[in-house]
Amino acid sequence: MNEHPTINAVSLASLQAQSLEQLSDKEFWSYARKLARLVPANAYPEEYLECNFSAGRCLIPLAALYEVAPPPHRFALLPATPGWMLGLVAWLGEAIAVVDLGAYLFECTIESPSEGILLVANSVGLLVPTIGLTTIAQIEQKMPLTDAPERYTSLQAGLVKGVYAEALLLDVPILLADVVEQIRTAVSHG
Amino acid sequence: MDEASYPNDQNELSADDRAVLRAFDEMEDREVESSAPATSMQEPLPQADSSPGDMLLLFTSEAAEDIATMRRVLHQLEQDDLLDAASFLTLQRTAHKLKGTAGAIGCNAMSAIARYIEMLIPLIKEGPITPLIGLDALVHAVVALEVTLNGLISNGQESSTPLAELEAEYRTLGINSIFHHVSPGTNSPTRTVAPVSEEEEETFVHKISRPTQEVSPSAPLIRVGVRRFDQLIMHTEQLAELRTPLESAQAQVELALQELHAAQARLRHLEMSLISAIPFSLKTSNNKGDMYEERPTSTLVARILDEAEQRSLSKLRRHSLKSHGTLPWDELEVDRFTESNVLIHSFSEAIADVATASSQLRIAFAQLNRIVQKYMTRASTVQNDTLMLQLTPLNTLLPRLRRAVEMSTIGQKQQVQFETEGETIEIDQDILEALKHPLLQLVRNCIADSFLPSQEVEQSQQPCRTWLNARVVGNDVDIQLGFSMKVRWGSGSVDALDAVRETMRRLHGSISAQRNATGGVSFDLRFPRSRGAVQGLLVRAGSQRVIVPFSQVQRIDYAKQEPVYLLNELLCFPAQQSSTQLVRPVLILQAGAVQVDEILEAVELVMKPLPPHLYRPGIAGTTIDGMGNVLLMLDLPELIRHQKVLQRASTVGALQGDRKLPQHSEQTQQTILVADDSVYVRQSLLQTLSYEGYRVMEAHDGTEALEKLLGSPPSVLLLDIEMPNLNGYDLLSIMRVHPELARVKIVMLSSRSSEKHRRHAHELGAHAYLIKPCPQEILLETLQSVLASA
Repeated sequence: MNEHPTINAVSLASLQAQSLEQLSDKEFWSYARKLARLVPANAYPEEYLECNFSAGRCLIPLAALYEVAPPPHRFALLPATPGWMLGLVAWLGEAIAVVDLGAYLFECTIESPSEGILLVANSVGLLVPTIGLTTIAQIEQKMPLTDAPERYTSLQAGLVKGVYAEALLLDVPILLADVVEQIRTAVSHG
Repeated sequence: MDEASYPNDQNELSADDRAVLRAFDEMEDREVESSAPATSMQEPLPQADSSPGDMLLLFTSEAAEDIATMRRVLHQLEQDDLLDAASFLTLQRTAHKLKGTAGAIGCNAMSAIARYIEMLIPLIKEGPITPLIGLDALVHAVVALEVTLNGLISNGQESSTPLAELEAEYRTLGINSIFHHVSPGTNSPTRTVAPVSEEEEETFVHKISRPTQEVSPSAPLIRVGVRRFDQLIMHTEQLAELRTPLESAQAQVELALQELHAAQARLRHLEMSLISAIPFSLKTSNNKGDMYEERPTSTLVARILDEAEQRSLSKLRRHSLKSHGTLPWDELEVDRFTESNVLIHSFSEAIADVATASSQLRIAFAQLNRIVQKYMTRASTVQNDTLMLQLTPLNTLLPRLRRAVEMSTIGQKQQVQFETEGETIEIDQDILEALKHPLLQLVRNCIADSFLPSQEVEQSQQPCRTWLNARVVGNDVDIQLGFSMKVRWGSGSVDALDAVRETMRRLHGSISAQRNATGGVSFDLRFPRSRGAVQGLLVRAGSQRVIVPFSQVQRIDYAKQEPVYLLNELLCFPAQQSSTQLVRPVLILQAGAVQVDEILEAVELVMKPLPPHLYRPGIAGTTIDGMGNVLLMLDLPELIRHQKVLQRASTVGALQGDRKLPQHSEQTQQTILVADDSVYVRQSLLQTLSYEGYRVMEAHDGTEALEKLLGSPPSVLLLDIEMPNLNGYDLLSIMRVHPELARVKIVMLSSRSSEKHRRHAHELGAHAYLIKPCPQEILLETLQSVLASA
């Protein structure tokens, strides 16, 4: 098998016709993985999902989300958790923490959790009241958090990449790390 | 065997040894090796006359050295947590050499035993035999070699009894047949699998003195790949998880059937109303308009009427056309039906059809329920049987504990008895493997730290005792590890206890320690003996539903118990308005009584561990019910223990309250980083300091501490010396090159009490030095002092 496959259509068709069926399952998937890696990570501009809160808006990169799901019917409460953690829900057979993102960011609690939208990102559920459209942010047009409207300035700087069209561009990995750390340490403060 | 298969290592054999190995390899190449075990109990050495006495003397001398080497290596392997490949290599080569020399001199039994050792090692390294069982098998083999050699030296002839005993032991351990199944070059890891027992496991056995599900020594074994076996376990767990959704679906169908029956009843009532409202009389089709106006509002009835009308209207129309303009007279007095009569008749027939279909559905559903019930019972049996395959007797662990007792200093100075009970109880191999090292360390450290006051030594003629009593309680195993000696709690014992506590937590078990009747200390460990579904009570605490495993509950009471804990409060859940239920059930546990709002039902669900950031005291894990809801699985004894700790802290705080209140507001600004590899130390410091109003961060080793220091410098670093990855001194040295950490106050907290450590710490920049165990008041005063000096 070619160690460095290309995505030339003719050669691929030929290869498909002659060789693919002769590959073992393992070889086939190995080949498929190599092909998949050929697509440059930055081939597509980053898309963001707009989330609306009573206190503001934020943009979450779609790439950081595993699933956008309807809200859970019921949360299992866990003792000694931060106020913005609503509880546990099952996702793909595992229990994950669900965070009221509005309460976490702006201290504005979601009015009706059963009417929100659940965004699952790396085994943490972020519950938001409503979502808007997806948008492709021109990253060079973003403003620093210091130039943001006053209501955003109290936010922890590391969580936000900047402000774009008056919406916060969230840095999801940092946000999740902070959420997890605060949940972990809440047991000692609680 | 090809010598090249044994690469060189630090324990390289001598040139002479290698020459001997080569000679025997050549011998092996020439002749087919006969490895059949000896059949007679006493065998004279073949060619004894032709073997000079000095050859035998030379052999016994060399064999003794080889056996000593193997014993030393085995001892080292037992001490280490990880299997050392180099040690195994030395062991294998020595066994190979001994096999050859013994075979050449005619000591077939010793040669066979050595061959067993040689064969065991790859099986342990590659996985078919677990390290726990494998090391035990090796120790038995070396002991058998020793006994055989001693017999040879004493009697001048080799006895095959030790070999026969060894083979019997191997059959008990279930590894004998593996030798016969392993073909050369097989690398696939396998796990010993016991045959399925037909008997159901007895639950709630309070005293087990018989083997439970014991594997017959003569039962044949099969080899199964670990990956496939794990896959089988996973599939059976998934099968068990389907139980609740199935039951839920059944309940929903049952509900739908009940609604269908209610609708039928309404239809029948409507039918009667219609019949009585429209008298059975002859009417013309002119009444059609009236009939439509009186049509029932129910869409179902309307549809039935429409369909009936379609079927009967054409006939009626024809009949009507024929009789149009004439009186409805029939000389034969045959009843003539109006459209309404026909419609009612059709309506009645349709209702009867629905009733028949409904009955058939009910019968079919009852049949389905019976089959589903059988299916679920069978699935449960499959799951239990699969989990049984993983079980191994507790006695595979005991020889190592016994040796640890015997090899201890106190064990060598005076007689220490090691007593066991329930050693035939079977436990999951993985669970036993996880428990092995922490338990061994606990035994070693407790004995090392044990002492008898001098007057007691003089007065007591009784030997010191150590015991391990095991019993099965439901799906749990309860082990009491006791020492008749007092234990002085040094850092080693504390660390060992921490390790056992951490293992228990991972195994969803519990550990408690108390003084026993002999004045020594006993540890009670309780943990599941197999991984599988947990049976428990689904109870309500406020609006939340949680599960309490059966094994934690002694009985359920409805009378008032004192003192009683309220589950809602233990879990810190929001208070609910009192419901109408006046008498609430109380779960009676060994650790106390817990009142719940309601007991909903008994359930059997597969428990899943929580990710680390969701760990909470008293929460053993979670399960997911058939509706996809997460349910917390409680560890009530731990929850109560945690509550007691909080209450104690609260009482102390109340006593100190007025004096300390003003300081809290200041201290909330102060952050303390606790860097210590002991979970126990971290947790106790965390509770103490949190209560005092400090914000506490934790680091379990020096590297993590450095990351946290650089990420968010605390006010004070509370630092242990001995930690993995980066020790306390190294961390202090690194901190000195980071000017941003210059403001961090450093308080050392170590079990090292010598002046040189204290001095060295101060030289590296420590502001204070405390020795474990440190009284709470001194710790807090020191912290206040270093913070005040800022």
